[in-house]
Amino acid sequence: MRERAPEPGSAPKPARRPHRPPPVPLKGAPEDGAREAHVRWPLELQRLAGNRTVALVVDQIAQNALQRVAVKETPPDETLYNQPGTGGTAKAKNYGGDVSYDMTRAGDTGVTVTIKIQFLNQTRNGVDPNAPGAPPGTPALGALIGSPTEIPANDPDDRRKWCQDIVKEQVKPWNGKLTLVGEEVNVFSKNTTKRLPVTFNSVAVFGLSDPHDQVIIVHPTSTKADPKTGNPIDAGNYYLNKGNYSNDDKVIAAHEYGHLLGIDDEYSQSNEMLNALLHQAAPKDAPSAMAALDKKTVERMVLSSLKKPLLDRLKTTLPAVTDAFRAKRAAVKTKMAAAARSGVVDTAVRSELEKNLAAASDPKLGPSIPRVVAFETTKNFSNLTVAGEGVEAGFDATKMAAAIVSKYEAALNTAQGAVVNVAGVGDTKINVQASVPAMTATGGAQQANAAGAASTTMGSAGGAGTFFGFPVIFPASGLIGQLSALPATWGTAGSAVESGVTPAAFATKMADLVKSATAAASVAPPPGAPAPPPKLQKAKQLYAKALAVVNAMSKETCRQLASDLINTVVGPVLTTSVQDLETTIQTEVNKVMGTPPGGIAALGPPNPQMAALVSHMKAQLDADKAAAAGGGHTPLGTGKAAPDQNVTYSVQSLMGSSKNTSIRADQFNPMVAQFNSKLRTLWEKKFSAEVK
Amino acid sequence: MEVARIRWVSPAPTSVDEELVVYDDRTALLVVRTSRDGSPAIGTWRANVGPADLAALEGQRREVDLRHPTNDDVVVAADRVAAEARENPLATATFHAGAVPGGGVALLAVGGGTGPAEFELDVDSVVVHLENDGTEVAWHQMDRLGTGFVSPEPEGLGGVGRPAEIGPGAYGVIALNGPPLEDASAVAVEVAGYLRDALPEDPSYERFRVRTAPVPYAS
Repeated sequence: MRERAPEPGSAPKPARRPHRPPPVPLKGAPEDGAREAHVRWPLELQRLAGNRTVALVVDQIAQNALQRVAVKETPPDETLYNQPGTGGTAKAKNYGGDVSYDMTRAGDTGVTVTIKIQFLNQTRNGVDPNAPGAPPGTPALGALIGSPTEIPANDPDDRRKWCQDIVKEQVKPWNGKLTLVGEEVNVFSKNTTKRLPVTFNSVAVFGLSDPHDQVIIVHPTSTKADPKTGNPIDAGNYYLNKGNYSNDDKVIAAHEYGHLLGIDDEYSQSNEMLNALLHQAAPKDAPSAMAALDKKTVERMVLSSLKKPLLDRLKTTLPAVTDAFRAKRAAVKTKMAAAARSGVVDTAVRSELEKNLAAASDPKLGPSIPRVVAFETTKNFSNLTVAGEGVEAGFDATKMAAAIVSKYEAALNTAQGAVVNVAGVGDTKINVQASVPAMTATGGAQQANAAGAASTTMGSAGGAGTFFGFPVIFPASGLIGQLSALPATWGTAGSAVESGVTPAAFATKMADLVKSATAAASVAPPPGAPAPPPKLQKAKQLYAKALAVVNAMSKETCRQLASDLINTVVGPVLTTSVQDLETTIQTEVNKVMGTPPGGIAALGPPNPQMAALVSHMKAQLDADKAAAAGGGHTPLGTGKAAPDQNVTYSVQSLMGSSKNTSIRADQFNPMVAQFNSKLRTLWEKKFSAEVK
Repeated sequence: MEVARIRWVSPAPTSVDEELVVYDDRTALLVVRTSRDGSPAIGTWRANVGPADLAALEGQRREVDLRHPTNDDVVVAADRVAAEARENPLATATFHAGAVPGGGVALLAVGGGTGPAEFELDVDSVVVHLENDGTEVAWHQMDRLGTGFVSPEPEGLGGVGRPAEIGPGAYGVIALNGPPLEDASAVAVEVAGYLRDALPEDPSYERFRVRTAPVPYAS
């Protein structure tokens, strides 16, 4: 985004070098007018001055000349869909900003792009003009007031050093990636390929009259960033004291650097805008990725619209699942009791118990500890009780149901948030707006279809019932059917119970728990927590403590093993179920969007409710596309329509969501155009950007 | 009934995720998954909303990208309500690093508010950062978590494999297993997981990430 506060003060602009005179086309010249012009000038020079002179000039320019130009432009404003629109849609907003940098060519050695950032000191208005008692004429809260001043060289906060760090960091993501590649035309020999690596540079300047490309006010530590006091962090105001903000100044600075080069944001894009971006980024002869992205968009719209209906349906049908699991408690308790009996005497467990008691006791009780531990883990250890209580806690129906719902929701979120690799621009996130799930909420146009699709997806545990008055056995179906069937296998050899509830598993877990208990009793308590109790002094206290630790930790071990048992079998089923759902949606999307009318019948009967949802979402997307058609990449900046959208897209690159620091060659098109216009020699063909 | 929802986000490495939900009864709940101020606290906080702020926020659904913050009336009002909410925890957990006497590092979680924050740790997410003189010198991925938090009493408090149950004022500890930690004067713990917020309607179950403040460590 490039919405910046007006620059306080302005500095003299560096003089521009005059542009090259326009070349005069030759009569009967080949199609590439620019190229033949380059050829013609050396030819004329050769005729006039001779080969030797021309060769000398070429060498001088190529090897020694240092050319510098100042680039300052005002490109069309960019559009971002990052505002709230009607009914949960995304609304467009216009953002502007200037392009400003110096570009220096060092012959054939390379190109350096330099941006000068003027860091100054200035205060902001902290009085809300709407507050009672605010003087008339009070400027907006946060407006810069007075005139900027220089940050003193002996600033108590050493802000100048902080600024130097910022400029050093902001160019790091840009450097080492871009090379300008071109060709020098040779009249009597093969053309010379030229590769000019581009170095990006950022320079901090502190003088009020210093030439600069951007101004940033740096507020001292005495001023805390806080919107309430008119001190929000924004692109033109950085704070040493960030208060409640955790904005990464370096990330902001690196992003802003891209804008000063003329590169637009690539997040919160409409479908139309992303389409324009794809045309810019993809090779001219490459097939458009838009059709595939549209299909994926509809899939994500359907998935998003189904999330709440699915979770609601799961919650109402889960008792069948928890009942099925709880029916197996007795078998699990038996297995758990055996594991506890053997596991509690494991060397690791006893060792941790001894450490725990030693930490809690006066040293004089030390010699008694192994005997106490041996007693509490054998004769005084009630494995049936701890196994029974632990398994009951682990199989608590309410908590089991909540855990399954949480894990299913997490699986749906993962599927919904997965980035899509779009040919040309790379990983892209599809942002389905709140308006889409609203279509399947209560009163929404697709509520019934979504509820039906959710019901089909969830299915049932099956079992006895009636059909037109006749007793029948309904088969298990859907996710509920799969989950309910899981504990049925627990009696068989190699089942999850057999492999998961073992003495070794018990010992490992209990040893870890006791170790944590020891740490809990010995680390410095967090602020506000009570101080640890005094050391045990008597043998009776030691036995009581040992009994409490063994009982609590062995019961907790049983509970965690029970929870693990359920999680181990449920997790994969939930993940697979969401994948199956995605496949189901994809199948319907392919039928609706990817199959000619004549071929649909061959694809088999549709899933009616899913098909209706897909058709509805496709219609929404089509409507959004149609309304925005012709808007291009910067609709508001070029006076085109930019209607609210149900879906936006965010490329994950440096100028997108910054999830990664990738940069594409096409993003440098404006900069390369400047180079070709101002720094290319007469006998060079146009350069292009190469990014690694 | 919900009338506004403002979410502050940023990409990694800061990964901020705070969400303010405003209701028509002039209350608001702030859900913090990764805080803006870097504090290692997650959960749900509560605030009252003044009439002017309610008017400014009503009908708004926004995602504020903190790399490019704006200071319009809506965001300023939301910031104001969120700041007030931070004073009033409803169901929260604050994480700390702990140096275990005799060696080792522990992760502590302290409950806050009026009920336990419902969270579950990602068993493979624990990283210990080693610092010397305030500068990070190394970090170690710790072993997969096998068990949850334990109180000093001791009592199992969950948090791994099942939701944590750390009530207000209580705290639990997990002793971390991993490589030996050498040459450090301080340690901090970074951990991620899932938080179920305490919103009354449609609570969400989404990822959180915190990093504790460093604590002195004798290697």
